[in-house]
Amino acid sequence: MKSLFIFITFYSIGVLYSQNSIQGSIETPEMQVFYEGIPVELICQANGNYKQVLMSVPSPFTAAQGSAGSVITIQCTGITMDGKQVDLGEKKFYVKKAPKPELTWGSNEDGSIVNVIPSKLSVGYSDNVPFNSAKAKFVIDSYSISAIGLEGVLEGEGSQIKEEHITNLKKLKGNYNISIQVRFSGVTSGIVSGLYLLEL
Amino acid sequence: MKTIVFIFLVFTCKSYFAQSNYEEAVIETPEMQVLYEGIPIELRVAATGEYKEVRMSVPSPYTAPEGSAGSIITIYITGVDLDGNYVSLGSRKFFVKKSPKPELRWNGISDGGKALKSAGSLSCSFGNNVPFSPSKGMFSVVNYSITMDGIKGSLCGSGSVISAQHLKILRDFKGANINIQVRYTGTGEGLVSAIFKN
Repeated sequence: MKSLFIFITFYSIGVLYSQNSIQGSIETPEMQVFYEGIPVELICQANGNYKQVLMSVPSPFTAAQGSAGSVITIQCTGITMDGKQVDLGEKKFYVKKAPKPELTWGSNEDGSIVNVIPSKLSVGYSDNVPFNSAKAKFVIDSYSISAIGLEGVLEGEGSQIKEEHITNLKKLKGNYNISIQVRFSGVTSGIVSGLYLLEL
Repeated sequence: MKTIVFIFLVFTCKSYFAQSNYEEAVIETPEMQVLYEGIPIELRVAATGEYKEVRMSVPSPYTAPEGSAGSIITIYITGVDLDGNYVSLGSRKFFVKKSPKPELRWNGISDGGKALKSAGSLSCSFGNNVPFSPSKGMFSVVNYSITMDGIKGSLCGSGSVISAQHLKILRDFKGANINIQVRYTGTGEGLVSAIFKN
């Protein structure tokens, strides 16, 4: 009877213990990506009792500029209660260039009809990037604006359209296609364009 | 003595079982648990423990339906143990987002590049910076609108090929920039623009 009691006690502990390990996870294998310059939070979850679970990179982890095209392997190590290190496996992440941001003129996205000429240009991500879009900061280095009816191209530095260029644009009465191209830098750098229909 | 040996054996068996589970860990990127409207995404389920089968509440690959952007899809994991019992193994939440905007190319040249006026092929495709295989995006160009610096009016046409007449005008154009905007459909729809240096 005593033996049976002891057996049941151990068996119950065993079942309870293995219950802790009953966990499922869902992965999206082709979406294991990092983006250059974008900090990504990482969590390592291990089954079992560990004093500590360590990853081979810090969290959040930011893939370095220029690392696009490479594969980063993150190793997970557990420190057992008696201080031993246990290899808990690894996972590979593909590094990609940060997505191209979108241009906004005032609050107008590419393709919008514009009735009031804004002076502010901005570049940023909309909500279709696979991370918090607020994490990426961009600076507009230069802009160029062209439109039928404008002589030449209006070119300037920074994200604020020069007052004299605003004055030129305000002279356009009627409907005009305005094309704006900016050179940006930040999380990634490049050129982005927008075409707007100006209706003054 | 017999009892002690028996208990020892039971304990050893359970320890061995647990030990095999020790060597498993999952690295997750919680904020990157996303699905995209219209993009089939492969899902892989894993569970620790001994199961005949582990199932998800959605098929793999899974495609988030159009119009579901902004919602959260919860995928449940169920295991069928060796006795045939169903065991809940938790769930994972995925945020649904609109598919990324494609990039416009004229004869393979992207925004900001030098215009290649040999042909009028306009195409929209994902760049290699989407978090899935870019080949999953299929787009068609519905129509185009082209403006040129200093030239009045715009050249508008339908489809993905700039008409021969418009192409001739573009070839004769000597100004600085050629601006093209297209309406696209397919894996997402909308407008995308590009400016090409002449």
